[in-house]
Parts: sequence; C-alpha cells; structure tokens
Amino acid sequence: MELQRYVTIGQYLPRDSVLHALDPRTKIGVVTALMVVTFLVTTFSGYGLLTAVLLALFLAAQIPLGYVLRGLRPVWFLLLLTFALNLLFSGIRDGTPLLRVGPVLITAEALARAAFVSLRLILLIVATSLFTYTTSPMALTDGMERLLRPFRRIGIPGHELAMMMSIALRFIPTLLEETERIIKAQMARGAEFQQGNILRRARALLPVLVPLFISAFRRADELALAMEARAYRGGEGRTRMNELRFAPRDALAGVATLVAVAVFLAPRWLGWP
Amino acid sequence: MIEVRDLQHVYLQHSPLEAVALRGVSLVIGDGERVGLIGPTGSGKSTLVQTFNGLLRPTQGTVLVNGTDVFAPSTDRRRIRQQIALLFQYPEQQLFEETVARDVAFGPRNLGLSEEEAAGRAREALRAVGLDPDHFSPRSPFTLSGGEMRRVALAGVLAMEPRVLILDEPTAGLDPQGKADFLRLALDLHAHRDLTLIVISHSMDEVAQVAERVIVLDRGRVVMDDATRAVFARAEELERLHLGLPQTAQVLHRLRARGVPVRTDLLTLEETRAELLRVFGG
Repeated sequence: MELQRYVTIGQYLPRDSVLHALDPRTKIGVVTALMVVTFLVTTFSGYGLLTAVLLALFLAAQIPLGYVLRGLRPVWFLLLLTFALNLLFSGIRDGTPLLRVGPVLITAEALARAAFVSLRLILLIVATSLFTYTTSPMALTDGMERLLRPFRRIGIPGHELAMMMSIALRFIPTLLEETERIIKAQMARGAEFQQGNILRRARALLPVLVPLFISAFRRADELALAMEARAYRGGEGRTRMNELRFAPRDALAGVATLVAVAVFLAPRWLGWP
Repeated sequence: MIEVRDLQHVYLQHSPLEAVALRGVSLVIGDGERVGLIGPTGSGKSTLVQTFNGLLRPTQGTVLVNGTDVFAPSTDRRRIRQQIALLFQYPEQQLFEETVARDVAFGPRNLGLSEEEAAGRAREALRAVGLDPDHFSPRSPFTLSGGEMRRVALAGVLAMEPRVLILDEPTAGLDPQGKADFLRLALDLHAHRDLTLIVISHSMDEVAQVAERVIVLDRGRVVMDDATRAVFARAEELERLHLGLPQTAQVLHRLRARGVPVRTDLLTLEETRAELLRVFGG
C-alpha cells in the first residue's frame, strides 16, 4: 500500500528545465492563458494543436508522460460521468442517429459533443498539472503572494493566504505518510478496510481518522509555536531572501504565449467556421 | 518460524520518486529467538518487518510463516497478523477509543471474539504490561502519560495473543527509566509467554541487552547475521556503518587500544565489571 502513488496531482517534480526556471508569475500567466484558450477553442483541430503544444511543453519540462496520465487517475470517474451524460442526455433530437436503445437515442452529434467536452476536461487538468509539476510549492505561493499584493488595499490578505496555502501543501505528503502508517498499525491489530457495505467501511475508518486528527492538531500546534518562536508576525514589513525577478526568458515566454493565444483565437476573429 | 527468501522491495516503483528499500534479503527466524535488527537510517529495517505479517507486499520474493506463503491469494492475512504482532514506532499515536479497555480490545474484536471475551483479553493484556486493569480500563487513553500510553499500545497487540512480537524502535522518545522498564517488560514477555522477539533499535546498548542474535542491514542487504557477541566483535565494520558499539564494549575496546589486555567480546554491565576487576583488581 502506497498512498503517495495515487496522489500525484499537485506534486512537484524537480528537473533542470527552462519551464522549471521560469518565474512563477509568468507560469501563472501562461497556465491561465492555456485554460482560457481551452475554453475558447471550439474545433477538434484546435484541440489537436493544443494537445501537441502541451506534449511539447511536457517534453521540454522533462516530465515522463506516464506520470501525466497517472495524475488523471483520480478524475477518471468524473470524466466517464461527463462523457456518459453528454452522450445520453444531449438533447439533440434531429441529428444522425447511431444507436437507439428504448427511449435513449445516441446521435453522432452527441458522441462528438461528449468526446469534445471530455477532451476539454482532460486538457484543463493536464495544463494545470504541467504547472504544478514544474513549480515548487514555495515558488507557487511566492508568485501568488506577489500577484495579490496590489489587492492588499481592498483588504485581501495576500501574504496570509499564501502562507496558509504553502503550509497546507507542505503537509500533504506528511499527512499521507502518517495516514499510511496509522492504517498499517490498525491493520496489524486485525482491522479491515475493504469489507462490508459502505456504512461498515465508513465505521472502519474511525480508528484511522481519530488518530490522524489528533496528530494533525498536534502538528498545527507545534508549527504555530515554532513560528512564534521565530517571531513570525504576519506579512507586514516582512522582507524576503529571494525576491522574485523577471528574467529575459520570462519575456520570451510571455511573447510566445501571446502569439499562441492569437493563433488559437484567429479563426474566431476571422469568422472562420 | 518466519522464513524470507530473496526479498526485494522498491517504493513507488516506475515513478520518478522510486526508492529501493530491500535488495535481496533472505533469512530464517526460529521460534523463541530474540533478534535485534540494526542498521543505519534507510537500510530497510522497517520495510523488512512489515513484510513479515503481510502489511507490505514486497515487489519480489516470498515470506513463509510456519510454511504458509503470506502473500498467496488463499492466505488469510488477518490470521497471520494475529500470530505476528507488530508494534510501530510511536505506537501511542494509534490509540483512538474512548477508554483504555475498548482500545486494547480492538484487536480481539477484529478477530471475531465476543465482547466479553475481548474485554477479558484486554484485562489480561493490561495486567501483562504492568497496568492495573481496574484503575486504567475506564480511563481515556489520551489522559495517560507517554510511557503509559505506549504500554496500552503494547497491550493492544498482546491482546491478540501473538506468537511473535516485533517492536520497531520501542523506546524512542521515552525517558531513561521508561526505556529500561519497557525493555524489561519485553524480556519478561519473551520469557513468560514464549514469544519470539524481534526488536529494531538504534541503541546498541538496548540491542546488547535484549538480543541473542543480531541482524545488520545496510542499504537493503543483510551484511551481518550472527550471535550478538560475534556481531559486536566486528567493531570496525560497525563503526563504518555509523552504528558503533554498546558503551561497555566501547570502554573495553579503548582499553585494548591502549594496550590493556582486556577481553573485548563482553556485552553486559556485569561481565564488563567482572573483567575490569580481573584486570585491574588487586
């Protein structure tokens, strides 16, 4: 049993690539652009091109493709559901019929739409995972904090939000390890987690959840104490060791993104079908 | 009897984070033995013992418990876990019930025993770890001291009435008195319940005190497996693995290095005292 194997989404993979070296703010911009494009592209050829772009980026980032697919595993069910719903309840009545089972009619148009929506979902997830694979949690929250700084005046506590997020991210692997250890310890006492109906299984989790919560609270307490011991007082007047700085490659990435967005949206502007 | 053959294990295999933990471990542990398992951090000790009762399926190799293949599809692993109890590091963190009695009875209940039988086993196990059942049973485990909590956790696995008791760093985080008490308790259990005892430890003094046989792991391989005395005689090799020697043996080795003709294969405080008196005594 290795829980970490199943939770690869949101994990950072240290590599020595251009993408890793980009400023996190640039990457937030790029990934936002990618997501907007994913929603605006309306043709399969557009998605083909987008897939090619993403593949090239993953290649450049030196991230094995198997790892990308594994990140999709937790959302398989959602994908399947989306596909099925779009296929069966498309509301398209006058399309080319492919199959009729009782009252359910499957048309070629519905199939195309189901495939399209599923593809959109996959691309969204893959695009965001490209971001998390190439950006360390530290860099991510630094970037977020810096981007939120202008909103401080209207009362958005950027630093505090970023700090909470980095702490949460930091503890994901720790808590996973801990969960695994507690599960094993209870299994050593004869506990079973894969038997019986849902109610039984939920009850079987109690011996795991209680110790997990206790230890999470204890850790939170200890962390708070350690932070206060180092005179942590929130973001006011706090300086940082590594200020984020844009490099020439960030400008390059920005221009490349703008060009790419233009290419993807050109058909729309030019009124092509 | 536990027999493992050519165990290999890789964590997170086929991922960029994969880490090899065991590289071909074969050994046999007989009934009633007292085994110390030592090795530097990351040498595979914890991984190895988790395969013994089927908590961790190794990527390769077989584990036989009294001739039964632990990972065969037809094997009832719960039954194996009843026979081979494993107490993890900081076991007090696994306590979850409202009362000590219910927590200790968790294992027996999982084995399908009735509430009364489980409660009876719990009382008996509490007594075995030196906690008065009448006093402790109704209390919440979270109101106990660290040492008491650890005893309750030990009672929790003893209540399953195992044949083998594996302790993973049983004394980590206890005060010196707590350490000594817990070790004495483990030795008592071995003597009176006829248990096989396997102890993982970073303290060579503990190992010298508890074990009659020592297995040394390094980077997933067994590098030594011999009687405790014979293993601690190989001081230089242990030093190279950053494991060191029991304090008594250290004193003897240093005296020897200064040209004092003392024996260096002594382990207990008593033996060492006798030897020092023999050499220096009037």
